Amino acid sequence: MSSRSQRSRQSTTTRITDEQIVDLLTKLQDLLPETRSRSSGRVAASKVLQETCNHIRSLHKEVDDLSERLSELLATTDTTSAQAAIIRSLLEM
Amino acid sequence: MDDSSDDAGTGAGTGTTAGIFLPGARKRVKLSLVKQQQPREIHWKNPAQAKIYNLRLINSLRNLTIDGNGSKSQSPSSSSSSSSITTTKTAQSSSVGTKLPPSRAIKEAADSALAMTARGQTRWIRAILSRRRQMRKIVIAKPKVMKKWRRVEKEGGGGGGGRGGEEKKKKVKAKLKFLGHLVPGCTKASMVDLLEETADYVAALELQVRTMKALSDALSSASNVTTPPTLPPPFSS
Repeated sequence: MSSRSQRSRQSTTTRITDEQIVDLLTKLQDLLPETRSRSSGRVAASKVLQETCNHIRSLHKEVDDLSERLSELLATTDTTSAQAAIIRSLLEM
Repeated sequence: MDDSSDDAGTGAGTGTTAGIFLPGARKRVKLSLVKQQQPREIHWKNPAQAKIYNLRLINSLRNLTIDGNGSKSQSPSSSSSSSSITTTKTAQSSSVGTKLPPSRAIKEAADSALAMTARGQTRWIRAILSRRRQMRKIVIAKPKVMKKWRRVEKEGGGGGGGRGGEEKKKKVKAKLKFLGHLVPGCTKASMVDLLEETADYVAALELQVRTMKALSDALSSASNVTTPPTLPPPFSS
């Protein structure tokens, strides 16, 4: 990532402050379920990134599983009960 | 990507930086970095948005199944509150000639519904939309990229024993690259952009998972119970 070397050189074109990066990392950390709003002062960049990667991968896997399940369900069920289920889920949301 | 012209008109409703949005320009991220963060996060956690996404997903799924059974004319799934450009894109990209495996097709529908809900502000959304147009002709083998980067990540983890400055930087760089490959369309993004995209993407994915789970629960309960259902399915979000 060229932005990192630019940061150390403090070039005038893209001045990315450390503060900005720390802010972004904390925001990311708050989103994750495991390290949510941890009261540690410093965020460990590698840890946050690692957990983010793991979380995204698990979410992908969940989406795949759910879409498989949905495809099976849609194939087997008929349209009327599907519409009823859809309306019900919409009402409950 | 010519669908980046979408950004100009439909900027964030609550943000005040719509005036300086340039289509496809990276500068807008840095200029509006502070202001954009608040509305974007709330955007995904808004229950109204969840409803809109749910509706879109359902519509596109239904159109997909109808299309799979017979050649019916494709009605655009997003008929409400979205720009005309994305609507025509849906119509074009949904008339698929190639046969995808159904789970893949549903995932595609979910991704494009997600992309349409977000109104195309971020990179990964535009990447998803452009990918859908490409999928008509070419089937992209995604798992290959994942395996390559998994090997690199293991090397980075095994090689770095001591936590020197250089080692740490190398590790973080490797992880950033891996993350860039996970988020669609962010393989060559700068660090700031990548982190922002990731946060948005994670929130969007969670919304997607929640919606699909609710939908599948409702469908499964409907198909299991043949009599008029009296008990509501256990719904916890």
